[in-house]
Amino acid sequence: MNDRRKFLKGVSGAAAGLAATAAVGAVQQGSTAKKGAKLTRAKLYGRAQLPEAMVETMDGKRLHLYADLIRGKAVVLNYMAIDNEARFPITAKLVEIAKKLGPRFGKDVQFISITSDAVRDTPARLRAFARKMGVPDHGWQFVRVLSEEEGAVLAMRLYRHHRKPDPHTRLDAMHYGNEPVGLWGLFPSSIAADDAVLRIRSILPGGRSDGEMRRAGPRKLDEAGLPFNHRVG
Amino acid sequence: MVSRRDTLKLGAAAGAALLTKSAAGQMIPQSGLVFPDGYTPSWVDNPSPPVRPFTTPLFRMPNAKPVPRSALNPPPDPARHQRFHEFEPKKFYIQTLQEILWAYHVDPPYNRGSWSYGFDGITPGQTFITNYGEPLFVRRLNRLPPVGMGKVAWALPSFSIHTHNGHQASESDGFPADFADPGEYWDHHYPSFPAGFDPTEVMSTLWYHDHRLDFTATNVYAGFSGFFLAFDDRDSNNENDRNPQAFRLPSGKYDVPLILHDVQFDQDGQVVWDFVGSHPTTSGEAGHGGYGPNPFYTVNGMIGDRFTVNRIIQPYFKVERRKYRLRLLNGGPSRFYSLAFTKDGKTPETVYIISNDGNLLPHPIETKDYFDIWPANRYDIIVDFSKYREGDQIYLTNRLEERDDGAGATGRYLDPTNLLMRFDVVGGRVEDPSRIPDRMIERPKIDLSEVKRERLFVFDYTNGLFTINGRLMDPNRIDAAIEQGTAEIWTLRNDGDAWGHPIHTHFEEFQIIEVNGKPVPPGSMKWGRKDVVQLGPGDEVKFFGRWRDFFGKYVMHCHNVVHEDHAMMIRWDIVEPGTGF
Repeated sequence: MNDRRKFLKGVSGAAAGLAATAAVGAVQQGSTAKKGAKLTRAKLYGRAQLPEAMVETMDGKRLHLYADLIRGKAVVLNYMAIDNEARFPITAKLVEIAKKLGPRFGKDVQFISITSDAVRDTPARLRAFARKMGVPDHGWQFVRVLSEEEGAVLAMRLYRHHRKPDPHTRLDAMHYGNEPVGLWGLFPSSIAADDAVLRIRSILPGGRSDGEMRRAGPRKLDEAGLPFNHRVG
Repeated sequence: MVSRRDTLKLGAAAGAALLTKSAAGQMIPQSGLVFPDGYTPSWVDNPSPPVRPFTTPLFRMPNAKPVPRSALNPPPDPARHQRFHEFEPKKFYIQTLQEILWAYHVDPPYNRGSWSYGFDGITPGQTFITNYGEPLFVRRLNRLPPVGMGKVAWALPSFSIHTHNGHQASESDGFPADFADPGEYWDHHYPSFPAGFDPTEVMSTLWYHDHRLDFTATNVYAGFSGFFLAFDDRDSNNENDRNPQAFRLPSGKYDVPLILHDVQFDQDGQVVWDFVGSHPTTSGEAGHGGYGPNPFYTVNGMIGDRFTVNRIIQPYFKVERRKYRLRLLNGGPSRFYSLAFTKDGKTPETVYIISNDGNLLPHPIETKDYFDIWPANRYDIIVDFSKYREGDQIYLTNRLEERDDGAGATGRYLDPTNLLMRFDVVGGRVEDPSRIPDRMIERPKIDLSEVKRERLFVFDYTNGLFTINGRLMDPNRIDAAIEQGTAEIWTLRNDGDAWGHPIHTHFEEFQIIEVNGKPVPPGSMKWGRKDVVQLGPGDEVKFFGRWRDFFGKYVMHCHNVVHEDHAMMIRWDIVEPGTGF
């Protein structure tokens, strides 16, 4: 708790000047009131209303997850655990997605992978794992959250439910969001990389809606295309 | 407060699905929870600004107006649509999807308008009036501001419009991955024929709404919903019809679609998208309703504290002293209702239910009871206002109690109730040529020899995500390949102990055979064609369905659209005979 207080004090300076911050009062009643009260003390930042969490990157740097890695960016956020990758290869899927995003990866959208096994997945181990997986040098951070409580608040906000990141999961989703806009979605980690790329692109700024209209679909019945939709091209 | 015993009695009348087993095995009335324990919806601390109820007139959506075929440039392309030439479109429409300023009420701050998603300036969208045998073609243009440019920050400016539960080809169905982004358009071909050309498969009350992957809930809530009505020579949209086969149901201005959405607003009257939390932000000069700063967002659902009908908060509607056909639709996103028409806010008046999920029943059901309506459920109801006096006021009344924490229905009934809208009886006696027919549309015959496969789908909740058979939606994975021209029996089981799931499957209506092992009583409300199953905690529902006429991708999903987005949905395909699995 002391650590947490110090932490919150530390970030209050960083928080000043953000568009929308709020200390949320404890309003919970009933059996889960305690748990609820703990979580409601978290400050939430920006349109995305994310909590702050101190993280350690695979390079050993200590950063603010929200203020340093998310604020002002479009991001894909996921949980992973190195020991779980053999049976739940979520990072391999993300590597494929990153490749298919082409030049937009790292420029228009950043990836952040948060280990749910913060004890085993040290910065050195995360660094070696990233190298082994062929993770690009820029545009992708592997991090571990330093405070269990902050980790719980973050997971709850992302999954919008009481949920501790499970280092043994066989089922999960990736969060994707555009922080300055306040637009957030989530897709299952099992979807095709081509599908994930379309979804990630859809939250990035760009395009016009006031000019000549383009056909999105349906494509011709005998025209080649992606197997999971009827879009043109 | 109605006693629990009464509740049980009423629950039994409303349907066996209401009765579920608690952990202790005791039977308790349960319409399903939206949220688990421990959450407080933000409207508890920050309610939407107050209104004077029943001071704003009901919005009656205009009918969609056809355009000449030549208005479509490029013209419709037959090469893009299955069976196009068999069902040559006779009417053409262009719908523009855009961001609009919509006034939910005449009182401030609502009168200054709330930024919303709409169709050609309105929400709900224009009502499509369609006739069997008159195929139509709708081009939908995405003129929404691109990401970051709009006032509605929390919804995605991209759409895939689904006509629920139209018998249309896959490419026109609004498959969730078939989206059109800003500056793009999508062509929808609606062939307007009953499934299998079987006259007992004719539908009547359909609706259209967004189905965009990951953002269906936000986009429907923002305004993307509307009605799509289908008529034929019996349900002919003419109460003066001389055809002896015609039902002569109340028609024209006496046929009134009503869509329910519960919405939350901030102090500036901007719509708040808040998965139960507290302290919604004020929208400020940018106009964003936005998120409420609170960690208690959940994937369980979105409950608003303002009841809207046709996107007006608690409207009034002047009615003549005659019969009306009221088409009730729960547009969601998540709230369940138990509804009746009452004079005193409590005691149900006698009404006639003529359809369930948009399908005319074999015969009207006279009822003086409340009826449950879950997201996407529809009932067409005839209310005869001729028995009232001028000046009488009738309320559309909800008695289903939400828990204080917003988690969903308590299983108890409200006292006082929620009054959703008011019907004001005006004028003297009028002539009423409309009728309540004795017989309407028989159920299609169930022939078990057509059954090729039986399937089990288990609905559950894992790690903050909603699953079907332990998996999440992947549009690239075929979860069921159904052979065209066959029938199947599907069993839907809710393994969750807290949530109710309104489960909807696209394309064809089905007939429920059993609810929790018990057959559906003939002549009851469920004794008809349906497309949404009320799957309460622990419930198991078995239905018979046929799959005909087209090939391709469709979906089944939870119509608590927040569950759908997280990602309680499967893809099923209609495939060539011999290639199913």
